Amino acid sequence: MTVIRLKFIISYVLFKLFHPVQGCDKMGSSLEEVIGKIFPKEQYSFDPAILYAYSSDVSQFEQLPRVVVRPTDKEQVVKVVKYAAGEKIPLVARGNGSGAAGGAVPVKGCILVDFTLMNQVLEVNLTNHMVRVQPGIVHADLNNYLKKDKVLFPVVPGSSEMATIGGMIGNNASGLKAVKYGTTKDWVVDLQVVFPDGEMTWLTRPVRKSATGLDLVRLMVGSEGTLGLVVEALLRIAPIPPHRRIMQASFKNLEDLGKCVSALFQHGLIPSAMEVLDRSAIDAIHLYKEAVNLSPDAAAVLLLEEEGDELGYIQFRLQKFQQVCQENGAYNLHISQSEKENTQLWEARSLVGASSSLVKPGYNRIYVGEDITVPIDRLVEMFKKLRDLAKSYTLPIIVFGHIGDGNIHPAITVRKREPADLALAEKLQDEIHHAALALGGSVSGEHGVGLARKRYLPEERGYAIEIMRKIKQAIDPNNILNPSKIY
Amino acid sequence: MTENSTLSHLANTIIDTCVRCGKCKATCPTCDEGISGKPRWEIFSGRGRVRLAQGLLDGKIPLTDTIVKSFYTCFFCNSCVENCPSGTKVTELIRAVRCYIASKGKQPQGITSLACNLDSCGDIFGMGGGDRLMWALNVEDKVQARINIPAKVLYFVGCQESFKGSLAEIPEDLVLTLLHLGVDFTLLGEKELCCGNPYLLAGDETKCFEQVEKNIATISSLRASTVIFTCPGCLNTFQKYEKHRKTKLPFNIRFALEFLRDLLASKKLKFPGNAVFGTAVYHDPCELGRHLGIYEAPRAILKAIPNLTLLELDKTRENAMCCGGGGLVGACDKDFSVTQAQRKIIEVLGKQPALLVTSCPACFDTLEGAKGTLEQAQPLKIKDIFKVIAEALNLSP
Ligand SMILES: Cc1cc2nc3c(=O)[nH]c(=O)nc-3n(C[C@H](O)[C@H](O)[C@H](O)COP(=O)(O)OP(=O)(O)OC[C@H]3O[C@@H](n4cnc5c(N)ncnc54)[C@H](O)[C@@H]3O)c2cc1C
Ligand code: SF4
Ligand code: SF4
Repeated sequence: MTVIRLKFIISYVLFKLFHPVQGCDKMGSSLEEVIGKIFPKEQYSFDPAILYAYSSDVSQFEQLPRVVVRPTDKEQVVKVVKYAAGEKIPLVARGNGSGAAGGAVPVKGCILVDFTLMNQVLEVNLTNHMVRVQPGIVHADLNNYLKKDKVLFPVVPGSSEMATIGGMIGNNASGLKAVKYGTTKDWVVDLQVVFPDGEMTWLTRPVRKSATGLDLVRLMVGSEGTLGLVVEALLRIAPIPPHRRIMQASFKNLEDLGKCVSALFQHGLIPSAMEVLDRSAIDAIHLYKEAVNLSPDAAAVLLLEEEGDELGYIQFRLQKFQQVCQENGAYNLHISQSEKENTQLWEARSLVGASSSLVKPGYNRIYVGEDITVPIDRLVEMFKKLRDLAKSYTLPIIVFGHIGDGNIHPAITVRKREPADLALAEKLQDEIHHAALALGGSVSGEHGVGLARKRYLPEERGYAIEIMRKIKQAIDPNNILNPSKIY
Repeated sequence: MTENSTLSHLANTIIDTCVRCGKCKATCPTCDEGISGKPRWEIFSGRGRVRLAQGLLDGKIPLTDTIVKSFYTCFFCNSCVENCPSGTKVTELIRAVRCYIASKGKQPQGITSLACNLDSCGDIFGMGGGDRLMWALNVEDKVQARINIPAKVLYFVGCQESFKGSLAEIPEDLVLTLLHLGVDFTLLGEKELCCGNPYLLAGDETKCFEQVEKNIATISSLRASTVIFTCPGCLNTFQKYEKHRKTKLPFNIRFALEFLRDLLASKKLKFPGNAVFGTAVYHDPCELGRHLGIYEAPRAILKAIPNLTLLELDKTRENAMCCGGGGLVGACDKDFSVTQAQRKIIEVLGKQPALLVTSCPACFDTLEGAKGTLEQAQPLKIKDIFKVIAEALNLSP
């Protein structure tokens, strides 16, 4: 036994001698020493207070990392991944921690890689209509930067001021404009990725289309940091339309609103944004920003944005929307009059998920994975189900969402320190997710799987989840990148 | 839940409302590292501070120097509160944590010294009432007859203007203006005490309000119907007292600029127009703007001054960027305060004004101090608004 142990130790030492961690020559053996050699001291921390501050995202999960590192360049990322690969230490990527599914929540003993110091715009190419960025840039900062050239990255999450591009890529984020512009995956041209073995590569070519082999860019978008760490991204950009107007239509109930949305689609009337707010969501907005011009009494409101080069054409389109809406039970139609009104409305709408806490004093929003998507022609049934659930559960549910994509966020609010409320929320969450699946929907339209929705994935994806696991196993055989998430 | 009883009552009301969305991180001035604009560690944001408070409350983290630094680098700019979609009262929480930190004897030395001075002398500089009129050296003859007399209006000067030589011109200019306008006013002189604001920033509401009550008693004896302030911090403290104690003060409280704006509206205040100012940017002080909601009075006055063209920053009013002068941060971590002031000045320089105007002694002091550290800022003139008014009226001691 002792001989075997001795042999093992000798072979281990020899292995370590001849396989030094690449890029980390002369590194010490302890995590502290190695991290201290890769990063200057202001770029990493083992401080318990800092670790605690990075132990969560918006979801209900939390776990302390072993260390937080903040790379400023991709070489540091390569080095830390190579080290982690050698030692089989888990690595979790983090943008700004605004994810709602636990994707950026550390796993036990992990190195948490905070990308927010890699936040530069590297190149804007107006001819190719592309921008090259570091992953830690915040979405709103990118669009502010691009504004002078009258272009934007048109996938706009409600969390624009918080979400980083890396986090958006990780979760395949979308948002207010998805009905027109699609989701993040539709706007990513190429990615430079550090894979779990420490190899860094671009995945394709900087061209608008390429038919050479598997689409690894799309594989990477939405993989939640489980397949590789994105260190640079080449994104498509779009011109900023000079004009926009938002039409607001009131409804007596959500089901009528759902029918109207179906009718609009049947007429081929697809706006640049299409949002739904139920009564409590409107109240939440008014409690956050009193001045926002929204119906004081409607049971539900549909917001339709139309944008373009010509105001006249926008008005022509809105008239068509108006007609269909009126034929389908809408009343009190109002069209925004100024850019100030538009901005106020969208800003408040963007944050309604967080404002849901304002609706009933003592009841606060918890993100337990309410990001369902159903086919447009099943929206009415989903709304009916939500109405029934709201009746049978005592917890306030605030309903809003990107209805143009069938994406609904039924926000559950609870008394956070009441275990009974938390248990009830868990049951309610299950019912909502299963209802969406039963209608042919998905448990996540844009927030991702993370830890929050993992348990629903076999039901949603069936055998496809096995394929995903095989891909994960092939790329990350040691399971060091964001283990325990998604699959 | 742990021993942290100071915090526990805030659990449901404040900490639990936070959904960790990060909106407050986007606008928190302490989150960005000076001119580089690189985000600091999460613990230097509103969200980070709420999270740390939760960790302390739940007994998940010990009270360490890092935590002390996080809470004593908050400028109390209120941007987090203004922007929080879920109504989290972040600054109230930070005040409570500061109080908790003080109760554990871990308060930074700079704050302890201020508190000692306050306890022993009634002001943060440790000067005592005898020196309260130092600011009036140039206008002594005009001021003497105004001390402690019954009058309609009482001007509450505040510690900073009273004792800091570099700020003495603020009360001097207001007094000259009031005299020019024939306002019936009085001053507390040596009887004025610190308003109590530093206690509030250190987290001790009880001591703060005791201080306010002492001042109320003295003011009441002079039967003034209106008390005017040039320090937004002092006004904010009196207003907080009124609100938190659910009481009505025996006099009206107003910022001096609002008082002057009314005189402007009634045409009693008129600017002759021989002073030339050029282009000016107005910096909204956090305490006057986000805390007290006063945005228009200074603008109305500046717009009425001939030969002064008012420029607006991109981020103004509720969205204005803090200058780094608040929260007693300068007393704990000077660098934090200076780097923020540098950011503010650079933002202002982007508009290329001749003049930067502010209406808060702490802002003026902080910006003027940071200007010296920036070569490109040397041509920029920084003035308190009461100086601009006095100059526009051709007033001098
Ligand atoms: C108020 C509010 C409104 C929201 N509105 C929307 C909305 O309209 N639409 C929407 O889609 N989402 C929305 N979200 C959710 C969230 O903002 C998005 O999921 C966003 O994309 C997360 O970005 P982040 O930078 O915070 O990423 P994080 O939460 O930090 O990370 C998200 C995932 O990406 C991975 N990741 C991060 N960086 C990298 C990298 N460089 N390489 C590889 N993986 C990486 C992480 O490991 C994690 O799995 C909202 C959230 C809030 C709080
Ligand atoms: S304090 Fe408010 S704005 Fe900040 S993270 Fe919490 S909920 Fe969001
Ligand atoms: S008051 Fe200002 S400095 Fe303090 S946490 Fe809020 S935003 Fe940050």
